[in-house]
Amino acid sequence: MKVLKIVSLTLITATCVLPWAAQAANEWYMSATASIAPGSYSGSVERNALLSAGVVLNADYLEDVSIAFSFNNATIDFVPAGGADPDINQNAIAGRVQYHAYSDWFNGKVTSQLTVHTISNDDATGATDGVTVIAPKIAYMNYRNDLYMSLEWVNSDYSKNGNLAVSQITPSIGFSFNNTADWLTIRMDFISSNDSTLTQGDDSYASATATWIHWLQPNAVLGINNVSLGLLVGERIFAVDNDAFAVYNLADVQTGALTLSAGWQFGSEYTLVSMLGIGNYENKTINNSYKQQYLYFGLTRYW
Amino acid sequence: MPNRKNHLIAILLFLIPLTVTAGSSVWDKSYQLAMKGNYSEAADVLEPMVRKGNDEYALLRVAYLNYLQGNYSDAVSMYERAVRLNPESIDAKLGITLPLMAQQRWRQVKHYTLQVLRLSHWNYVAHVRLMIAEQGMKKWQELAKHARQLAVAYPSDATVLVYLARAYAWQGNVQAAKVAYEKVLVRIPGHIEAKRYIKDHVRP
Repeated sequence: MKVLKIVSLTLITATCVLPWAAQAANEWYMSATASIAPGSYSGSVERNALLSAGVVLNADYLEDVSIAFSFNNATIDFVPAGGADPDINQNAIAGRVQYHAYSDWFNGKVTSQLTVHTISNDDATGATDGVTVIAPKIAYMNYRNDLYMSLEWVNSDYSKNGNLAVSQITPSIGFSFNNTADWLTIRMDFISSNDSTLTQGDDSYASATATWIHWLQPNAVLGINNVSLGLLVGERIFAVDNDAFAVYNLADVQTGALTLSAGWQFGSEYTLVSMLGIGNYENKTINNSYKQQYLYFGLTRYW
Repeated sequence: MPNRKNHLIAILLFLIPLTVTAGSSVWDKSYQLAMKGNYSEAADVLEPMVRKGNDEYALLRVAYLNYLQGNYSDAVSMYERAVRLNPESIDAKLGITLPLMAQQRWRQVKHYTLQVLRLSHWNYVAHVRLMIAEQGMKKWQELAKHARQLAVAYPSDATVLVYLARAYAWQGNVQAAKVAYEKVLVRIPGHIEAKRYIKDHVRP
């Protein structure tokens, strides 16, 4: 209920303020996304279910500057143990600033980005609480919008977990094909920690994620605008995905993932994304491999 | 005293044609170089006038020559200077949309074309470039509405109808798109895009 209240209040505020701000000057473009992601676990000796809900507000000044704010609340329902209920409820706040510069020398747009997260939760062990993340990124998109490259450095500080520090280097490349009807992105996550005992026995992890998006022609089946398929191979822990404003501080070692999504566009003002995701995880400390299944729904309103 | 005044007038009268000749020769040289495709040199010739900062035409010309060279960011900067110099300049506000379109900065294109349309409501070039921006942003409903209004104001124009047809097509309204493309074919019988769409959407 608390989550719904926060999400509702934020949405109501956004609905009232953003259109006014958007109309105040023809130079600002606003959007608000509300999302919810219920999920469950199978094969886990510790985890039962999860529920995540969030809001992202974004403001662009023409094509020069973008400012975004994200709030997310997540609850993980753990299996009660020893008479105690170790469920974790977490609030995550993030902010992102992007500056776009246009370079004729590079024949494209160069984006400098800084994302900051602060996370608090009621983890009884304190291991996943008090997390701060600082992530600078540089990205390039050519003028034809058919080639993308980026490099992000993520520094995650787990101050209540023995001062664990996790570094992540994330290069990615994306390109369009099939006359711009398809887009493929490949991103790598190279993660290293300063204490292997706090990152389930290894101090470095590597994974690769491929995401393919296909845009359908008008009048496609069910009115679908686009479909996507994502595949993750390798291993990662405490990863950060700033495209989704996601910090995986509550997850064990991720050993694989498959996502399927469909997107709808309703006029120029609304988009809806629905996703089915299956993730493979392993708790290496207790040698327990399990699966996570989740649904994601995200509704965006543009002004 | 009168004698000295007469001498001064005589010297000034002698200098005026020389100044005009020098200015004209700079422009003539720049135009000649541009005609040969030497846009960089054509701009260099005008650079001293641009550096002074108050020669509006030189600024517009060098901005355009930068655009022709593919120096889009420099062109944008110079057109921005021209807009600051003369905020009422339709030339500068239309000019800046050229490098902005090349950089696919559709919101900026919209921003400047709307400024032009505030000064000149039915400026054709501004409307066409605004439609290009709406297409770039995939704002199909806005584009359809805009193109419908323009088709009333410019009933003989095929370009407006092409954008109208594309907007209908992307909204999945095949019948309306075909009607618009058929009108395009009346105006330009060999229009490749219109012919292809109608051929691809013949009912079996």
